Amino acid sequence: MRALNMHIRAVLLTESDMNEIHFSLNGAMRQVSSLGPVVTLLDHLRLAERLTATKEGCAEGDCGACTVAIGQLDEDGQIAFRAVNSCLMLTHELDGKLVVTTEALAKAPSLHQVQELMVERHASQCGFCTPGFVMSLFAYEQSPATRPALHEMLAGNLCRCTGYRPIIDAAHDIAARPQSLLPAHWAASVAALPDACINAAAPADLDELDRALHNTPSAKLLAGGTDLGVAIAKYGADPGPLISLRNLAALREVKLSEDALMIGAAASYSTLLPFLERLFPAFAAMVRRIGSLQIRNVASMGGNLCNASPIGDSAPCLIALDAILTLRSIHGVREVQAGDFFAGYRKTILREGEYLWRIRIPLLAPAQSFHTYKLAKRYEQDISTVSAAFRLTRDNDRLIDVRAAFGGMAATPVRARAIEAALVGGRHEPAALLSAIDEDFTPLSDFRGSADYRRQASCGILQKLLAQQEQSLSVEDVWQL
Amino acid sequence: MNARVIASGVHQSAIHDSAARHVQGSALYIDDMKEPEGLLHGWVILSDRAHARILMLDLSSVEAAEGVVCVMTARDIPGLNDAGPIMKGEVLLADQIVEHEGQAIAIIAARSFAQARDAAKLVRVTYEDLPAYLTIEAALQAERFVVAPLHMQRGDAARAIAEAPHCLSGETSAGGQDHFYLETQIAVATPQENGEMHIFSSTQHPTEVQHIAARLLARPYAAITVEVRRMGGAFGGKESHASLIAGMAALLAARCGEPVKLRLSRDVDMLLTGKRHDTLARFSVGFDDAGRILGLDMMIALRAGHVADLSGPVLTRALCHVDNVYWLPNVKVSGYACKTNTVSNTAFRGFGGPQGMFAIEAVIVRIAERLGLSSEAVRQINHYGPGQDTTPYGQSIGENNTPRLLEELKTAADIARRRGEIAQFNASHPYIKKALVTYAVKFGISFNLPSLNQAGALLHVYTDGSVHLNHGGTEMGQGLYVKVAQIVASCFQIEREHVHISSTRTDKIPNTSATAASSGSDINGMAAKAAADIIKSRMAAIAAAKFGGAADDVVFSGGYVYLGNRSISFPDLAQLCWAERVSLSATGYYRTPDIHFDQASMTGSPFYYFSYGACATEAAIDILTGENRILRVDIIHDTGASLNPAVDIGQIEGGFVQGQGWMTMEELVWDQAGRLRTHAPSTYKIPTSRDVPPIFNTHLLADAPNAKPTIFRSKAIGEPPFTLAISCFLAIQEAVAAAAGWPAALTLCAPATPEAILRALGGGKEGSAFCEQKAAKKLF
Ligand SMILES: Cc1cc2nc3c(=O)[nH]c(=O)nc-3n(C[C@H](O)[C@H](O)[C@H](O)COP(=O)(O)OP(=O)(O)OC[C@H]3O[C@@H](n4cnc5c(N)ncnc54)[C@H](O)[C@@H]3O)c2cc1C
Ligand code: FES
Ligand code: FES
Repeated sequence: MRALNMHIRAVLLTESDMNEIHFSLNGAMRQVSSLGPVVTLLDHLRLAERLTATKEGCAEGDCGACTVAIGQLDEDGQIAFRAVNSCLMLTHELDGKLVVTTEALAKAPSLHQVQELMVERHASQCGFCTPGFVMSLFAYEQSPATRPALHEMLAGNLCRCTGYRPIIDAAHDIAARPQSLLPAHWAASVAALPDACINAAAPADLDELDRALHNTPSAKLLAGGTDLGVAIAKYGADPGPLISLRNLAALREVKLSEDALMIGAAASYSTLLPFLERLFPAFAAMVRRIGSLQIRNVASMGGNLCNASPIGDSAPCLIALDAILTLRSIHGVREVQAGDFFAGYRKTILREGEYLWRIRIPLLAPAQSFHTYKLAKRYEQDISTVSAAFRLTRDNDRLIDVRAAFGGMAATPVRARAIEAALVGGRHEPAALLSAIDEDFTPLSDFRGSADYRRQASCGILQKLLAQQEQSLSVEDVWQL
Repeated sequence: MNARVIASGVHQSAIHDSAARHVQGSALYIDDMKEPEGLLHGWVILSDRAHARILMLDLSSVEAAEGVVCVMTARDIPGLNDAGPIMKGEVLLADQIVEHEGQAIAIIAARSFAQARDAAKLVRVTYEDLPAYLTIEAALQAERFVVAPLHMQRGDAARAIAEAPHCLSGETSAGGQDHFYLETQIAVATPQENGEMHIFSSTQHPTEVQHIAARLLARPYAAITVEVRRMGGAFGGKESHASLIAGMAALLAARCGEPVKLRLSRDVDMLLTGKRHDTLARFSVGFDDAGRILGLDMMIALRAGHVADLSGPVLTRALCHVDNVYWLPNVKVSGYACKTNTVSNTAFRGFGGPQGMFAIEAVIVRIAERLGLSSEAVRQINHYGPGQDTTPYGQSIGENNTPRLLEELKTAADIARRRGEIAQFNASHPYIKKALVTYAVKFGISFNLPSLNQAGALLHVYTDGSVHLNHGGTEMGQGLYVKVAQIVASCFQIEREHVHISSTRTDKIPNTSATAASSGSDINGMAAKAAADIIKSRMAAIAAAKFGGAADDVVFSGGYVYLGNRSISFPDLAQLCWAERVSLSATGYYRTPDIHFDQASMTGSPFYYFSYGACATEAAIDILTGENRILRVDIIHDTGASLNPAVDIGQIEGGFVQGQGWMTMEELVWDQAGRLRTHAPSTYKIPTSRDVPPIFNTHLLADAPNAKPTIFRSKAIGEPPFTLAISCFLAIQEAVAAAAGWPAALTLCAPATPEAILRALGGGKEGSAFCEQKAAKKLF
């Protein structure tokens, strides 16, 4: 364990919370002290377990070389797998779960079918990215009912050697084959794990969370940890006291009522995507471009809002949809408009001891439609240069109301009132659109794009929106070709 | 005799030798190896100024930090503080002056990686800023170069331009590119007895690591052993710059007397090590009514960074590839390697060739625009042909496969029909425009510097018939090991499973060249064959003695050795050789024949032969947002008689997509102070699977054995296909032209990011929105 004296930072709030967490590593039970140091799963695997198939390519969730599959038992006692970035995941978050790494797939002398197809297709060259792809493909193979589209599944894994073609072919092969059987002891090993470790650092209900946060107001909530994980994994930052939301089913609920969709702040994007898909397809399209599948499998909309990044992609959607956020603390509950949640660059209006509980999105009226746009240097897994969301309300053919919000154009995601007015007022000529943009925004230049590009492209987005309203185009963007 | 042939020799699509281990995660990279007792972990402290004098460097808190064992600066280097691969005086650790942000100023070793990283944050430095030259333009104006300018000349370009019916001038530029090998740079140095050092280094050039470590430690070369089994990608980035990392690890290990692992974090890797040279080209060209180039005067400036490193040879290769597949009767090309206060750029797949080839296409499209011709017509009319087949540096191009490739491409890519469809689509879609280009490349094979074109191999046959193979080439994923093993299997006519490939080591094969310039299988394959031939002739003599007959009549085939109607299995013959006291071990050596180059006059025949390729590339752009996509690519590539078609197709596809990244999305952005803002995958974007053309057909040119007697008549493959991706830029540029006209399209520079495209659509000027311009024309 020499190598493990790496992050000597208490996760827990008090000594009395000393507990053990348990997980299954490739079918074998492991326990780690919950008062232990903040160790990423990747470091745990490579340094403590000396399981080196799982690689580090970036330590920031962008390359996928560290991909492992996390399994949980569903109601039928079957294991449901999802691919995650082990570089961002803190080991404690595995409490009660199964981790599968590349080492465990093959049953000598034969390879797992995913591995076999990768070999047959000549899908490895230097091989450094390969274990990560194998795990993404394994999770894909194991979830025939909920498989994402192929590039969505691959987007979180970078390969610099192959040009992907053989990997894409292997993925097609896998999709066409029945899923392989799992070793029986995997499910048994999860079933045999002790109960989840519940304490102030991993509360199980909202009242406990209220108290924990009240007692340690400096504590940070750990939802998917994709944001916090980067700081820890990449910069070795000391996150200070953490309160994990992993045991809080109440924060992960996604519910549809008569007039609204209610999203628990800590629900992962992957859980809520099917709802968005049905109710707000354009919102779903935006969410599918947040990070990669590995990121969306753990990251939450709550985390996306609470880190208050100017380019958080869900915020413009929520603002344009008039979403209401419910904030909660030991003192009670209050509601705010999504548009009023941000106090400034990377700042929210959350008070000490307060957290985001849930997000309420009113359903669209029949006369309303919803549209989103995200521009980045790369289509997949890139941070927005500009993002935009529009809710249009029509009276027959006439636009009578527009709700527009942009990301990447100001210090926070923000509503664009001049643009709304120009759109409703029929001032659709490019010059008029540009002057509305200039009225709403003074964007900055950075490495993602110049201020000039941001305003030009925003104008392009508006023109596109209008063109798509005026004509029905079979191809709306280059990715549909 | 009933000779069978083996199934796993050359020309077969053998699977990569490590593939089964790659997919199981049991292929070991340096960071995966069992750690030696007492291993320390290194970290590099970087400068955060582009150009400054270090007034005060306070490392006391670093030294005092938990777990830290040793801290070293330039002054602690026992030998020379010099890591230059060619030129002298390129310091490993900055001494008083820093010349780029990200330059190493100190190195530390601690008990864990995290301790080393955390301790490094405690450094305190006071700088006095010095004037920084951050761009090619700034360095050109100040005439700051890392090597003397190069001039290549044939005929009288100035006169030809003056007398030509038409002439024009222009300018273009292409950005740099990070290698983004998935495995960051790493080395483990372990002190041995008697002042010797063993180094595992993720390097393409073990011999250079050996030399530089020896220089830093003030030890003879023989005291340093460098070993590499495989790299997790390299692409040129681990050619000269692997020595920096290995050198630092060796210094720390020697100082601490303990093994030291130095594994760079992704950010440190991208800040500390070099990239592809970005390029600025300016030219004047004279041409006739048909678009024939009569005279070309071109200036190519590369951003070399703070020291020369390999920039001299990179520049040479850039100049040697300006002609690409075009006949340039009168030509003058001047090359400048600009000294800037940014990290020293280095080798990257193509080694300057792609930059030269990119530049000439700017000439082609400008001629087309001026004459109102299609760019394809101008390309066509300038192709090399009979009587017009010597390069600007005076080498005959030899066999010219371009016409055949382009002819076959017409059908393979269904070009005529698709052109019609594209025109229709463009007329009907309000804001998406497509274009299709065909493009041919020629790439010179051999290191430009003749002395580098040599290789060695070491082969042992054991008495059970198994074979142990070593050669000087390194495996970075390109399939070199499997190809050379196929060659040895073919020579002995035994199945490849009997040929064991082991790591590349300087104590087995000395004085090697880098595995670079696409030369790996050409030269190492030949060396291995030479070794095999030596052993075969000894074995043949024993077989002849046993069976009675002439050694010349002995035939190796299908695991047996035949003489007339008698035969013996290969293992039995090996056993017999041993009994007869005949050596079953040999070294093989090869040097490429017929090459010469005079660096002073920039003339000669530096290349043993040329590789050719052609592709048809279709792109689409969104004129409102600049979003773009490569829709379809058809490639026919000349690999001679391919040693391993599957591996070669992998190199073509992988090279193409990497080139596509260079041309379309990968963007290195420095701020005003010379700080790199894009030094991790969160900010630096390489292609993902979605970016791969949805239709991507790759064919090898059939029945085209190399005219030169290369290893089994194959051709090199590593770099040439990368250059085909220049077509991505050209197709996007044509699409811009289809939307906004050629004058606007000519303002497009690489990489063709959405922003660059939108700017070009607006005529290249800030603030002039394309949408504003089009307003009058009523776009919708
Ligand atoms: C590779 C990668 C790609 C990414 N791509 C995108 C992208 O395309 N678009 C985009 O918008 N973002 C992107 N992100 C940023 C980020 O990961 C996401 O925004 C994600 O939604 C954050 O959610 P999380 O649950 O992981 O947050 P966490 O990391 O768990 O938390 C983020 C912050 O919010 C706080 N927090 C979390 N939940 C609550 C709560 N309920 N109440 C109060 N505070 C809370 C935490 O304390 C922390 O400070 C990316 C990140 C990575 C690593
Ligand atoms: S190491 Fe790159 S995503 Fe985890
Ligand atoms: S095989 Fe090398 S990065 Fe994918």
